[in-house]
Amino acid sequence: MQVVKRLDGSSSFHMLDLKLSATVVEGEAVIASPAGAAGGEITDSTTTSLLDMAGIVLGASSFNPHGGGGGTLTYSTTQGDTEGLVRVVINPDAIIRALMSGGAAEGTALQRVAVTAANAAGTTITTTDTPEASMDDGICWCILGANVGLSRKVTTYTANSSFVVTVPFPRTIAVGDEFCVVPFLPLTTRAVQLTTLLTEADASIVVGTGGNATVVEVVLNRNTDSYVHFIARDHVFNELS
Amino acid sequence: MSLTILVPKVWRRVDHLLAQKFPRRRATVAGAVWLDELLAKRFGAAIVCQPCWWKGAGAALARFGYAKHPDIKSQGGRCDVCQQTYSLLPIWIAEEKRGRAEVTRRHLDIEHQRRLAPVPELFRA
Repeated sequence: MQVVKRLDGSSSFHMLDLKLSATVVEGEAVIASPAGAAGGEITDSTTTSLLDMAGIVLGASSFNPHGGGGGTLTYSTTQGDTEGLVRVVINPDAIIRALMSGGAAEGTALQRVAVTAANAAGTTITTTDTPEASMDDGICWCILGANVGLSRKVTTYTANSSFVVTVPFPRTIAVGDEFCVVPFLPLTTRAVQLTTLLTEADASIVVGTGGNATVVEVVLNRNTDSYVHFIARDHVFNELS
Repeated sequence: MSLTILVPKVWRRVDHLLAQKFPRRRATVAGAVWLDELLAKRFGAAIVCQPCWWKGAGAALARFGYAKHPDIKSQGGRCDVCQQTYSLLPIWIAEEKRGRAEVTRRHLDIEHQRRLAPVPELFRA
């Protein structure tokens, strides 16, 4: 994941060098460490929780007040090891861009849904191979067929059967057309689930499950390079709870 | 005229120990060489100000394949070389990590144009 801009449209970010309580990777969402035994200030989020989010890891910190060295992404409690110190974008209103993954593993392509029955009204996508999780209130878009490049909000969803949009696609949905459907709709979706390494968004889950995040925008390309942009709803500097 | 140092540096034992552990750059070592050691560690986002870039850090950044991100800036950040704080500073991304941060307004514009393009071929995987 990367930060792309802030809610005010600017792209200047507040970056802090923060101490680790767990080993992290670049592009990962991190949260504030709980008080107590944790050895540092930030730690891994989980795939389903972004409570007290601190930001996105840019990389190991290159800052060292004594001139030399720098931090590392690896957390260690061994004396003599380099300190786990990473550079984090901490703006609460930072818009974070995550690749949509078709599963819990990073880099999984989104499922391509092939239409099995034509629909002249342009509202019903009949198919036998939809994602299992309900995408009701998600978004679908056409990647092959007469409606290619157009997207609509999903208002009814029946797994492995069909899904329906209220605002029709302008042209007939034909047999063999292909769609993608994901559980992210700008402003409406208030949760984003992360993939295993916490660096992408899992788009195979039920709408509304995952960590506290509000979807700002979706970038709908193909099934391997579509993105969701979101902001944290429970940032450590702007807490929901 | 005598020079008056308002806050004299008091060298405690811990300061001596720290200075031994993390020696500052010596006058006989060029600034760029010192920065080379730092940049060789392949940081995700080095913050280097324009004066330091001009004074030699730019050569090291170029040699080690760091590139200035065209959009994303550090606001109120501190230069990794001179430790001075500026209102806005560029961030420098290591070459192999650039793909992770290569999200510029230009790229976003292209994406926005592409996803609305009426040409079906653009969307075929």
